[in-house]
Amino acid sequence: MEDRIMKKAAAVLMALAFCLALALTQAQAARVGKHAPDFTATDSNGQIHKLSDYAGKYVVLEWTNRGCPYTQKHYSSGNMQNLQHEWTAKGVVWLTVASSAPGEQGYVTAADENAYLKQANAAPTAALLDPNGTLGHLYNAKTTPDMYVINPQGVLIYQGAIDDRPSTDPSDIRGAKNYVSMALSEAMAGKPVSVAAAQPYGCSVKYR
Amino acid sequence: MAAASAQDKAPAENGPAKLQLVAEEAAYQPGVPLWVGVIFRIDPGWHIYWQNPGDSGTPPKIIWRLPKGFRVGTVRWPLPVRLGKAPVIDYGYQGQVLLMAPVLSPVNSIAPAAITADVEYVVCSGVCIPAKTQLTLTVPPLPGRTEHPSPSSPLFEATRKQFPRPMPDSWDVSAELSRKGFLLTVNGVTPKQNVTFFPLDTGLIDNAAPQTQSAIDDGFTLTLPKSDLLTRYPRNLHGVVDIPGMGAFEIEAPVTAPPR
Repeated sequence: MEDRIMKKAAAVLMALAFCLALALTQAQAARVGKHAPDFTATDSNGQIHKLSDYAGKYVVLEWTNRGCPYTQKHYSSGNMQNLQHEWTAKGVVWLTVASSAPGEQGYVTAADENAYLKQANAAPTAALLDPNGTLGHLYNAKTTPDMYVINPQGVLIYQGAIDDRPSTDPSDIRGAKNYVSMALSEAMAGKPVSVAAAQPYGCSVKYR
Repeated sequence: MAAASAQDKAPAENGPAKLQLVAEEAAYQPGVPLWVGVIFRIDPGWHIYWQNPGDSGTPPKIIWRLPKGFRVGTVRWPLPVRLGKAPVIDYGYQGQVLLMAPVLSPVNSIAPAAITADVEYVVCSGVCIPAKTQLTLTVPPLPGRTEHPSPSSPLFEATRKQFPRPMPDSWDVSAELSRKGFLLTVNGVTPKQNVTFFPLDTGLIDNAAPQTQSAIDDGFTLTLPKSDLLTRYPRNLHGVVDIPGMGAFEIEAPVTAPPR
């Protein structure tokens, strides 16, 4: 009898804990103008990264899937690598995130990812591997690419498209308004970010 | 990017969508609109996108080339379907779709209408394949008032039935925007089944969120949770309401703050 009560109590507690966890995740959703939710993720070298480790720095999150033609537009042209080189040289922490589930397009092992980064001359600070989609769901990332810019105070200052030309065509990059560079330049100059959110364009993130 | 370059360059004919440029009439009457369109025949499991693609993808782009003096109107988009799974919901087409536009010729035209359509589109299943193709069609002139249906004529007629219609004058629409999202109110129609709202503007509603419908006196309301990307106050909630059994209607609901 007592045993059954204990089991019931345990079940109730579990349910409560689950509701609380759910409430917390909902409260922590990524929203422009709000504190970006903290996360812990592992990169392609086995290093652990926490957003809170980078307090005091600008952080860019770039959702990626190398098989996606919208991502390829920005890598085959060298656009994404240029942005990574340019902004990391200015002290920005640039984290790519691969949220494709195993078996889906864009799923990468650590070794694959390191070989690819080298071959593509990519220069993110780190490449985060998120095969369970935990980080993707936390930020509600929808497409590849999907971009987030977080300021040194930990506030999300930009969310969405990489630029204003939704296409797979690399020739559209020249003359495009790059929203990530705009947000970083404006924020670093102490100005308000003129475009704080834009509908991202790309392939769907290949969640489990 | 060697791994995926083979996909990039896949010619349209070998891809999951087969395209064909067609006209509604076998001959055109100078000065009278001739409807032309691109048929997309899409393999099972694949889709292309609506004018608002939703969370991912991009709509097909058609660039028309016409003889001097000819003009072309905008493409008309049939009602799409919801695709994908939360959190990524798209709007698009599966199977077969015709995207049509009217071509207007000069009244004194005597030359055959050589029409070229440069089509750029992305077709997706689990993966996406971009494609670019050039389609051509020549339609001879035939002065006079008679119609000369082409073999594609029935498809044009059938596709028109899938166009969202203008909202009836007897309807009244409005939308309240609160912290959670939009409450769309439509007066003048009482649907028997569940209505679906398709936004025509991006970044307004959370495409993946459930749309909750309630009956009110002489109408219905629909709650539409807002998008994470909504940072400005929109003037209108512009979209299409699909009412099973009645059809799809384009609405532009003025957005207001909820009453205090």
